[in-house]
Amino acid sequence: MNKAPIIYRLLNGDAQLSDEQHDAFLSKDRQLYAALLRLPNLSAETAMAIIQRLLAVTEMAPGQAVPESLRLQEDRLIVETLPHLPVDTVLAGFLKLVERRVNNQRTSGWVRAYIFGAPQLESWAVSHRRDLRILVRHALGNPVTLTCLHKFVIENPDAKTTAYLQRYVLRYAKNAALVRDVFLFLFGKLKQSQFSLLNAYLTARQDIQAGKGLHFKVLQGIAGTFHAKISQRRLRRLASRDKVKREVSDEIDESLVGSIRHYYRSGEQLNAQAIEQEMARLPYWDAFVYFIIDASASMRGFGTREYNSIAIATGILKVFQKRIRQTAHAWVGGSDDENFPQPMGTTSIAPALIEVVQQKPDVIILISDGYENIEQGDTAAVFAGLEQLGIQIPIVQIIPAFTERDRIENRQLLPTCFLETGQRGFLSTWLRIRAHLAPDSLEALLRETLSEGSQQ
Amino acid sequence: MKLNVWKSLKKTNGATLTSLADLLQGREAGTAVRWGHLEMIPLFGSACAAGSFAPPQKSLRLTQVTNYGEMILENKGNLPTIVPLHLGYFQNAAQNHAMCVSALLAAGKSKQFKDACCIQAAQGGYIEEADERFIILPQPLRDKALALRGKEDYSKLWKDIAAFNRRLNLKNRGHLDELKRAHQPELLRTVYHLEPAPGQTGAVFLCNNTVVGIELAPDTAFWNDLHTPLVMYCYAPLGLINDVEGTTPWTGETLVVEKLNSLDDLQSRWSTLVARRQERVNQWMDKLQALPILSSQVEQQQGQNQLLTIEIEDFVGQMVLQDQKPAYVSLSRKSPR
Repeated sequence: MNKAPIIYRLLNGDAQLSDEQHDAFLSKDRQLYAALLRLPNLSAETAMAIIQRLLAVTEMAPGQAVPESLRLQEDRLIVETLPHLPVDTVLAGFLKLVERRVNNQRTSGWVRAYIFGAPQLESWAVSHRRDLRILVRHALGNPVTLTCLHKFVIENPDAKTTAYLQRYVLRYAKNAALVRDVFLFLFGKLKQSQFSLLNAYLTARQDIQAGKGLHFKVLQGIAGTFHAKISQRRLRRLASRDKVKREVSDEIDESLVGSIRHYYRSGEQLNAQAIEQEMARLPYWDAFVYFIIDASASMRGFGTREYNSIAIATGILKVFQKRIRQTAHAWVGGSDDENFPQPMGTTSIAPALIEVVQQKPDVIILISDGYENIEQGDTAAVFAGLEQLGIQIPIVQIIPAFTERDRIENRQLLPTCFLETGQRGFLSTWLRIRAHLAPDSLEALLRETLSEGSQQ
Repeated sequence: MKLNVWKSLKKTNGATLTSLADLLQGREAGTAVRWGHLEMIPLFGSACAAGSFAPPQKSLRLTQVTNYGEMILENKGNLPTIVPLHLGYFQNAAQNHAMCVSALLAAGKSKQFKDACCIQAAQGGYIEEADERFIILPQPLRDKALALRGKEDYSKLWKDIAAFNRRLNLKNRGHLDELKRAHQPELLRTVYHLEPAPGQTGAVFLCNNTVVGIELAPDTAFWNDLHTPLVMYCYAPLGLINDVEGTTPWTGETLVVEKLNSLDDLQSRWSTLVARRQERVNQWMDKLQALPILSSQVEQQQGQNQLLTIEIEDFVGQMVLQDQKPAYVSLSRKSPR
C-alpha cells in the first residue's frame, strides 16, 4: 500500500477511503493513520470512520494491545477533531459501533464524554433524542442505566448515590442539573424542567404553541403523535429559524481565534497562554518568512463575523512568529497598534509585495480576505511581473474565513490560496503551506505534527 | 447656451455659491478605490468644523410610522443632526419606508415627515422603533424620490421601484426589499471592496468612469455612519444593474509587466502608474469643480444652518450650509429621460 498518494489526495479534499483502504492503513501504520485526523479538508465522514476504527480496534496484532503512549496520542487527536464534526455524523458513527457491538471501556468513555460534556446537550436532547437514548444505554449498559435513572429521581441523594452518579455520568458534565434532566428526559421520566427547550418539548405535547422555537423536525415529530391535525405551515411558523453556520458557536469557541476575537470586541485582556498553547502544537520551521498582513477596513467584517478575519490574521502572525527561525511582517492598512491593529483603510497589496520581495525571504505569506481595491488586479499583475523576472520566492495567500464553506471566488489574489477558519488552530495552515513547498515530504510532515513542537 | 449664474444667487438668500467648486471647498481627493463597475474617490477635509453635527446612525431614530407614508424621526443626540437624503428603514413585519428629502433636526427634537414614501407595496403593519441601521435609496431612484417631495401619497414610488426591480431581473413590484433578499451577499461584498479611508469625509462615486454621485459629510464621524448605507444600498445596485445588462467594467490603466529588466524597473513602473492614476483623479475633480450651480432652493432654516435643494447640470440633490459653508451635500446623477 502506497500511503503518500492517499495522504496527498486527502489533503486536497478530493478523496474518500474505501473500507479496505481504511483497514489496510490502520493495520500497516496505526500512528500515521491516526495522524490523518490532522489533515485539513478531511471530510467529516472520513474523520469519523478513522475514529470508529481507532476505538474498535484495540490491538496492534493479536494479543498485542495498543501501547499507552499511542493511545494517549490518539485521544489527543480525537479530542481536537470530534467537536468540529457535525453532530449527525458523530452520532451516526457511534451508532455504527453499537451495531457492531463495540463496547470497550474506551469507546464507552468517549460516547459519554461526547454526549454529557456537550455544551449543546439541551438542544441535542430534543433534536436527537432517540439516538442519544440508544448510545447512553449502550455506553452504560442496561443495569447501570436503570440504576442511574432510579438514583436521578431521588430528591435528596446521599453521598453514596452522588458518588455513583458521578462515576458513571456526572464526571463528564459541565452542568450537572442539565445532565440530570436530559438523562431523565431521554428515558421518558422527566415531567417538567427548568431548561427551556426540554420544557418546551414536554409542554408542546399538550399545547403545540408551547413548542415555539424547537426545530421543525422536532415539532413535526410531536405533532405526528399528539396534534395530528396541525398544518405544516403552522409548524414552520413556530419552528426556530436559526441556521447553524458553524459547528462551534461563538459562545463556546475556545480557540485562539475565539479569544482574539473576544479581545477585539470587548477590549478585555487577552490570555497570553492561548498563544503559547497554540504555538506548542506547531513544529519548528527553519526558514525566513515574510508576512504581508491585510488590516484594511474589510478585515473587520459585520455582525457575527465581526473581527473574525483580523483575529485569524493576527493569530497566525503571533503563533508562526514563535515557530519560525526568522520572520518579518508588513501591515496593509490598520491602526498604529503593532500588536492588534484596528482594521481600517484600503487594500493596497501590490506595493507591499514589491517592497517585501526586495528583502529576499524564503517564503512570503499574504494573509488577506482578498477584497482588493487599489486597484483590483494589481497584486496579480505584480506577481506576473515577478514571475517574468524569474524571481522564485514562493508566495501563498491565506484567506481568513468564518466557515469552510465561505465563498472565495474573486478573492484569490495569487495562484496559491488556502482558507483558514482558525476553529481548529493553525496546524492546518502550517501543514498546507509546508506541503505546498515540499509535496514529497508530506508523510514526514504529518508525523512531525505528532511531535508537537519538540524540534527547535 | 443658457446662463443661469444669477438665478442661484437670487434663490439662496444671500449664499454666493456659483459652482461645484464652492461646495468642494476644503476637500481634497485621495487615491481612488475601484471594484468591478464602481469606483470611489475618497475626499478628505471639510469647510465645516468637526463635531458640529451628530453622526446620523448614533443619533437618529425612527420613532414611529403614524400612517402609511408618514415617518417621525427623532434626534437622540446632544448636537443637531442632518437626516441624510433618502434615508430609509427595512424592518421585519412592517411596511418599509424611506424619505424623499433631507432634513435638519435639532438636538433631542422629533419631526414628522408627511411626504415619506412606502417602499414595500404589499406588507401590512407600521414600523415602530426600527433598527437604527438605515439605508439610502438606490441611486437610480433618488432623482425620482426628490421630485416627489411634498407630495403626500404613500404609494408614489412603487412604480419606480418596480421598474428598478425589472432592471435587476427581480419581481416586478414596488418592494425594495427584493434587492436585499436577492443580492445581500453582493451588496455586502461591495462594501468590503469600497473601503473607507481613515479621515475620509466624503466621496465621488463613479460607475464605469462616469460620475454618478457626490456625497459630502460634515466630518469623519458623520461619514463613518454614512459610508456603509451609501455604498451598500445606494451605489452597489448600479454595479448589479451593469452585471445584469452585461456591461464590461471599465478598467482604467493597469500595470504593464512586459519586458521588465529588474525589480527597480517594476518599482519605477508602479510609481509611474500610481502618479498617472492620481492625475486622472485630479482631472476629474477639476472637471467637477467647474460645473455651475443651475438653481438652488432654500427648504429649511435652523439657526445658522440652511437646507437647500440644488441642481447642477446633470445632477440633483440637497445640501446643508452652515454659515454659508457647505457641511453636507448629496448629489445624484439624473436618470436619462
